[in-house]
Amino acid sequence: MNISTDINIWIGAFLTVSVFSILFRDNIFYKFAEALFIGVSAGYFFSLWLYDILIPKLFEPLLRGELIYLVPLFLGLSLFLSFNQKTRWISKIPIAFAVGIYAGVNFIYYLRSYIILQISSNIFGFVVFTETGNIDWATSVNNIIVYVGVVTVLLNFLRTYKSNFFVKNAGNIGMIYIMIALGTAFGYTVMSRMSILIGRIEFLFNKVFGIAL
Amino acid sequence: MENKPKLEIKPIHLYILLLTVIVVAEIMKIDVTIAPSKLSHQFYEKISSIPPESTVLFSVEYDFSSNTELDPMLEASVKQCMARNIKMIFVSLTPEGPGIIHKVVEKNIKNGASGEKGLIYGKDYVNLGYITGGIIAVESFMADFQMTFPKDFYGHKTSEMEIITLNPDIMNVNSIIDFSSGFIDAIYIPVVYKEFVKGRGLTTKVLAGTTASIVANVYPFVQSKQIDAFLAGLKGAADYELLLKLPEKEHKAVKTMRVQVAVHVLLIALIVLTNVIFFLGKRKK
Repeated sequence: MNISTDINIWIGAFLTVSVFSILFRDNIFYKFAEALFIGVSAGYFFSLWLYDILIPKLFEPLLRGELIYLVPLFLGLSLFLSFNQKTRWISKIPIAFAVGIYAGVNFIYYLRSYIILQISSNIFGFVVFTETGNIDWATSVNNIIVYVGVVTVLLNFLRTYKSNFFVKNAGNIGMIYIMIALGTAFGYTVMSRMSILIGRIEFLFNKVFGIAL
Repeated sequence: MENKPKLEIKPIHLYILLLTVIVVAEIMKIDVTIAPSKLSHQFYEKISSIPPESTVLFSVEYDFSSNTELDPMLEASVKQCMARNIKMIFVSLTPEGPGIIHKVVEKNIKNGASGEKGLIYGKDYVNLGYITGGIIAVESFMADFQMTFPKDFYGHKTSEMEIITLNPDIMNVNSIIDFSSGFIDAIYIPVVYKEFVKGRGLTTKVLAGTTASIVANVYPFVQSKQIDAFLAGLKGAADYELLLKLPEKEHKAVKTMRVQVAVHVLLIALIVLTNVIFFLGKRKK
C-alpha cells in the first residue's frame, strides 16, 4: 500500500466519495460536489469557448479587418435581444439561420444513412453459397432471421391501423424482436454504467491508496 | 397469530452488495478468458494495414465520465499508430476532448510507445483542439484543416506545421478513427465522416469505438458498412489490448473486464432471484 501524497488525487477522491454519498441520503457533501461540478464546468466551458472559439475564430479576423465576420457577430449578439419583448423578433433570425443550416446539411446525410443505406443493406439473398458452391448455413440462417425481423417489426406497428389474424400474429413475433433489441440496449447500458462505477473504485484503490489491482 | 418480522431490502443494501462484489473481484483478480470478437479483429487489422508515414485523423467525442471504456481504446490505438510510424491529427467535438488527447498522447510518448525516434509535435502529430458545431464543424475541417483551426490547442499556428501543410484537407488522410460516448450526434459522427469521404470518391476507412450504452444504436451502421471497423464498449477495448499483445501491466480494459464479469454474474443472479420470488408470491396468492 502506497498512499498518495498528491493533493489533486485527494480532491478527486473526496469528490468521488461525496457524489456516491447520495446513495445513502441527500447531504451537504453531495450538494457541495454538485454545486462545484456545475460551477467548474460553467467556468471551464466559458473560458474554452472564449479562447478556442470566439477569440481565434471571430475577434482576431475582425481585428484583421475581415468585415464578413460582422455577420456572425450580429447573429450571436442578437440572441440576447430575446430578453426584451419588443426586440424578441430579431433573436429569431439567428435561430432560424442555425436551424436552417442544420436541417439543410443533415437532410442528405440522414436520408442516405438512416433510410437509403439501411434499406439497401437489408436487401440480400435468403440462401448464400460459399466459394466452393456449398450453402453457407450460418449466413443464410442469419439472413432469414433478419428478413423475418424487418417484416414482422414493421407489421407490429401496423397493428393499431389494421389488425387481422396475419398482422396480429406476425406483429407478436415483431414484438419479440423489439423486446430483444430493447433488452440488448438496456444490457449494454448497464454494462456501460458499471464500467464507470468500476473505474471510480479502481481510482480509489490505485491512485489514492496505491493498491495495485 | 405471531407477526413474523418482514425482510425489507432497501436500495442501499444493493449498493453495498455491488460495492462488495467489485472490491472482492478486484482483490481476487479472477481469471476471465476473453476471446476477441470478429469486429475487434477487423479494427486491429485495419490499423495494421495502414502504411507507415500515412496520416490518420483521430476524432475524440467523449468526456471524462466515459474514460474507463474509451481511454483504453484511444491509448491502444495511439500506441499502435506510434509503433507503426503513422502520423496523427487529433480533433475533438467535445470540450473535454483536447485535455483527454493531451493526457493520452503524452503518456504514450513518456512510456516510449514511439520508440527511440520519438515524436515531433507539428510533424508527427498535432492536437488541433475543440471545435463546436457538430456535423457542420466536421464538414468545415474536413474541407480545410487550417481555415477551421488557424491555431492548435496550445495556441501554435497550424500554417507553420508540416503535418497540416502536407495534409491541408481530408484528401491525403488514410483513415479516420472516431471514439465517442452517448452525447447527441455521437452515434452519427462516424457515419458523417464516411459519407463525406465517399461523396468525394475517397476510399478513406472510418473506424469507430463507442461506450457500451450506444453500441446497440451503432450496429446497424456496421452492418450496412457505413463504419468499416468497430470496438464495442469495454469488451471491445479489452479485445483490442489483447490483440495488440500489450504487456500485462499495460492492460487497463482487460483488468476492468474481470470485475465487469463478476458484476454481471451478480446482476443475473439478482434478476433470477427476484423473478423466482415474484412468481412464488403470485402462486401463493
